Formats: sequence, C-alpha cells, structure tokens
Amino acid sequence: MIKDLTSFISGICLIILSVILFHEANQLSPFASVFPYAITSVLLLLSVLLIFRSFKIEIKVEKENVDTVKIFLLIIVFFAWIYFLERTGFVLTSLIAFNLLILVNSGLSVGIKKIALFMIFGSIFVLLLYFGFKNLLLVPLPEGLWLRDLQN
Amino acid sequence: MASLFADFLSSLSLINLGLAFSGVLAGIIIGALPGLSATMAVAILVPFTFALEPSSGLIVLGAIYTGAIFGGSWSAILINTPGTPSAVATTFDGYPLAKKGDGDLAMSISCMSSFVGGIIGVICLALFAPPLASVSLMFGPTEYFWLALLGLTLISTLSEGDNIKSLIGACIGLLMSMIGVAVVGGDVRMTWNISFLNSGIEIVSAMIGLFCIPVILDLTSMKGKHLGENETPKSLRLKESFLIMFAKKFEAVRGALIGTFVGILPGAGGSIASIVSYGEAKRTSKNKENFGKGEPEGLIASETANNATVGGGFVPTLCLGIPGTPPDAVILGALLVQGIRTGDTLFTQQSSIVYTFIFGLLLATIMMLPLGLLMGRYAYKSLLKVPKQVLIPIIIFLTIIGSYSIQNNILNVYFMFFFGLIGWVLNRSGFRASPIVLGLVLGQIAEQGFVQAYIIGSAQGSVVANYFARPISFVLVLLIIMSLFFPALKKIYKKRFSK
Repeated sequence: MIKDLTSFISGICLIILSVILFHEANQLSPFASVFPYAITSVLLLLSVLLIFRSFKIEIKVEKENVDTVKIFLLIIVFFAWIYFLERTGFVLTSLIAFNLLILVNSGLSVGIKKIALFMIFGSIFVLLLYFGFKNLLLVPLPEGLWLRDLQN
Repeated sequence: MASLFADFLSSLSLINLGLAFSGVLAGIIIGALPGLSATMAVAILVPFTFALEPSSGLIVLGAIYTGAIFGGSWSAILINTPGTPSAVATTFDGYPLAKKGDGDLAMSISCMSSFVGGIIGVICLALFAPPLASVSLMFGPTEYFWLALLGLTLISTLSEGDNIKSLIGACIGLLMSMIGVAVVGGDVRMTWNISFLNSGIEIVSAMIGLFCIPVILDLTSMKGKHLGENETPKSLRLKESFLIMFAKKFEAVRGALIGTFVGILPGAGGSIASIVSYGEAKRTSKNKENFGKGEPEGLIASETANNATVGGGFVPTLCLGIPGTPPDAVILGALLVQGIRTGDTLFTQQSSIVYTFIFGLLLATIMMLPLGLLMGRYAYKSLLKVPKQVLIPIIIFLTIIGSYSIQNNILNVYFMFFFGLIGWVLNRSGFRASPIVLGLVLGQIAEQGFVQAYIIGSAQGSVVANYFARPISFVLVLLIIMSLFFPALKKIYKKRFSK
C-alpha cells in the first residue's frame, strides 16, 4: 500500500530520467561520460530508496492552497511579457504587462481608485528602473524589433 | 612600520574615502538586485578605474565587491531569492525571520555579520597572506571534488525538509551543470540537438527562476501580507541585534574563519563557505531544531562566512596570481592592466599599493556597517508598505530585467521562466531549490576534480588511493560520511536512549 503518492510518482519519474541520461552517457567519450555515469547511478539509487520509503512513511509537504485562475492568468501574462520583450520593446511591454499583473492580482476585491493609484506608481517604478539600468548600469535593454521596422 | 602607517594615511585620502563609500553603496544596490552579481558589478566599473591611481582603483573594486556580497543577503531575506549564489544559505533562516515579522532584525544581524566576516577576512589577508596562499596549493583536483561534494551533502542534510529529496535535488543540479560542453573531454552532451543548450545553463538565471517564481506563485495564492510586521516598527533593533551578535561572538568568528579558509581555495567561493559554516553552526548549536525556522545563529554563520571570502579570495589572487572567486578574476585583470605583477614579491616590492588597498578594503567594510544598517532598514520598511498587488509585478519585473542583463540575452529569461515553473512543481512535491542550485553552481568544480583525479590516479596505477588516501581528501570524506549519516544515527540513538 502506497502511503506517499507524491514521492512514489517522483521516484518513478526520476528512475525514467536516470535511465534516459545513463543511455545518453553511453554515447560520450570516456572522459565526458564518467561523471554522468556516477551521478545518474546515485540518482537511480536514491530514487529507488524514495519509492521504497513511499510504501513505509508519508512526509507531509507544507504548501499554499492554489488559486488556479489567478496563477493561470499570471503565468500567461508573465510568458507574454517575455515573448513580446524583444518584439515591442522593453518599456512598452513592461508597462502593459506590469499593469495587467496589477489587475490580475487585484481581482474584484480592490477598488478602482486604488488600482489606478497602483498602476501610476507601478509605471513610474518601471520607467525609473529602465532608465537606471540603461543609463547608470549601461545594460542595453531591447528597444523593440517592431518599432525599429516601423521607423525604417 | 613607518611605511605601513604611511600606507594607512594614503588610504584615508579624501578621494579614497569617497571611492570606498560610493563603491560600497553601488555594490549593495547591485548585489541586492537578483541577477546582477558581484562579478558584473566589478566588471562594469573596471574601465573607470584605469584613470585612477592603482591603489585607488583597487579600493573602489574591492568596495564594490564587499558591498555586492552583503547586498545579496537583502533579497535572500526579503523575497527568499539570493541576490548572489553565496547568499543561498542566508535564505534558510533570513526569510523565515522576515516572515515572522523580524525582517528588520534579520537585516541588522546580516549587516553586522557581514561586517564581522569582512573585517576578519581582511585582517587575515593583511597578516597571513603569503603563508595562507601556500595552503591553497595543497588542494588538488581530488580535494576540490570532495570539497564540492561536502558542500552538496551538507546542504542536502541541513536544509529544512526531506533529506532523500534534498540529495536527489543536488543530483539534479549536478546533472543540469553537465548540459553543454563537457569540462573534461569537450564533448557536447545532453543538448538533444537544441543549439542554445550548447553553452550550458546560465547559473544565475536558473537560480532566479528556481527561488523567485515559486515565491511569486505562492504569493499570488496567499491571503494576507507577504512579510510579518513587528510591534516596534520605528526602532532599528540595533541593541537587540548587537546583543545577539555578542552572544554568538565565537560562532561569528568561526564563520568568518571558515569563510576566509574556503575563500583562499581558488574557485570554491562564498556558496560553499556559507554552507559549510551554516552546517558547522547547526551541528554545534543548542538550538538545532530552530535552524531553518528563523534562527539568527544560522544567519550569522552564513553571512560572516560569505563576506569573509572577499578577504580570503584576495590571498591567492595577490600572492599566486590565481583568482579565488570570479570577481577576483576581474580584479586580477585590472591589476595586470595597471602594471602590477602579482606573486610572492608583490608584498615586498609593491607593498605600498597592496597595503593601501588592504586598508581601503578595511575602510570599505567599516563603511558598509552604517550604510547597510540604514539602507537595510529602509528597504525592509519600504517593502512592508508595498501592497501585494504591486509587489508581485515588481518581483516579476526584477526577475526579467535581472536574468536579461546577465548576458543581454532573451534566452536566459526563458530559462529563468522555465526553471521557475519546474521549481514550483518540485517545491510542491517536497524538493527544495537550494540543493538544486548548489548542484548547478558546484557541478563543474566537482566534475573537473572527479575526472582529473581519475586520470591522475589511472596514470599512477592507484585510482582508489588517489581519491581516498590523500590526507586532506581523507578528512573531507570523513566529514561527508558524518554529514550524511549523523542525523540518522542521532535519531536512532535518541530513540534507544528515550526507551
């Protein structure tokens, strides 16, 4: 009888991963394969131990309850932020994504006035940090491929 | 003696004081931003130092380095994301302290500990640099392999939670470090024909993702405030922090000595130093059970050790021309451009430059104390005032800008995002981020040591003896065995004893 299902499933996944990587190491030169062999063997051993242990005891993991809708929306906006970063430029993408994230996190519980205030402060923060990075730390941030195409 | 005094006075010139002050200030801010490392901070400012006197240039670089290592603790304490890899162990007790409402106490203790560690590291550099440098030469590939392994076993057995899963996490980190071109042999491996994996996984972007994104996603679901708030929000809690530091003075000195010693080993760096120091603190503490739940002693151990590596790291850099840590490598380059030849003659033939630099470093560390205390307090209070709805986008913004600015490459941001999601799933399954990150950080050191020791052993016809029979290796192996089995043996002993 399995007492710790998470550990059992993790153990199975890790065994599969170890076998794949062990096979991968087979195709390498002796010097490049010796360490992968050693580590995948240890991983395999530990995964077997994890599976055996999952039949004996359950170790509870402390975790927050998941707000599925919020997390899903956050991941989408986060990914879109990265995806459009080079395309529409750092400033524009960041301003839009930052404010969208404020909306996602505020939900329906925060008043419109407060949200507007958050957005103003957030936008100022984004602009300040952008100019700080660009002019003080000399980090060249993307200016936007689409904007450059439009200008040309 | 008279020349030493002259060097001391030279370090006190207005320009040197100003440079040390601005260097520490810039270092703290850069170090506190996840993704902007001490190496990057030093590298950005190297060209500016060419116009300065050699000793002044060195002072500003040393000050930035000191400030950045300390600044790394801020994000570790406030958002559970180490600003630099050497602050990984700071997250263990720093973040729980902040969550409990003692963030100001954590910030003050971290600053005082960094100060103590920094001062002891610099004093060791000034007094014992040439003999200490010879110690670093006693470490060969075998010793480096075992030292990296000791760091990994310690983090796995010391971090809160499940030990088997932590060891698995360390293995996953090691496997991740193997992606790309092999350190020995040069094969391209585990890339599955994806071209951008050829250069391997960028450590800092993976670290930001693994630590930061689980925090962001948990914050999104969490009801209530991100950090707790204490009842005396206006005090600096200086007296309390000082009393804690005074009560743990021996532990602080021990952490600093560990940091200095590990710092003199080229390549080892603050990440191993802080883990080893944390492990030693937990092993000897009367409050073992509080470690990982917000124990100030854990914070002291980690922060004294990582700042002591600054002074320690300069020992091989100045005496042997071998950089102790990555920022030391950048500083070594700056030294060479300035026409300073490193080596054992540096302390005799160009002693005035070296000692002015050491005194400057000492002054920078002293300046770090008031600056760090005031700025840290302000940072903590500001963070408390920021509503969660704004804090989450701010952290996401910092993760993006931080991982992008490492190499100005968007792929690092994708890496960070991808590792963050994996980290969140792993976190919810009981796998902690710290062993994975340390595995990734130490992977190349461990592999290089392991394979080189194997080749040397094969050539000598005694592979096993080369791994186990060298005196330092033998001690390290014993420590690894102890760290692996000590918790289990102690449990068995306690069970029997209670019966």
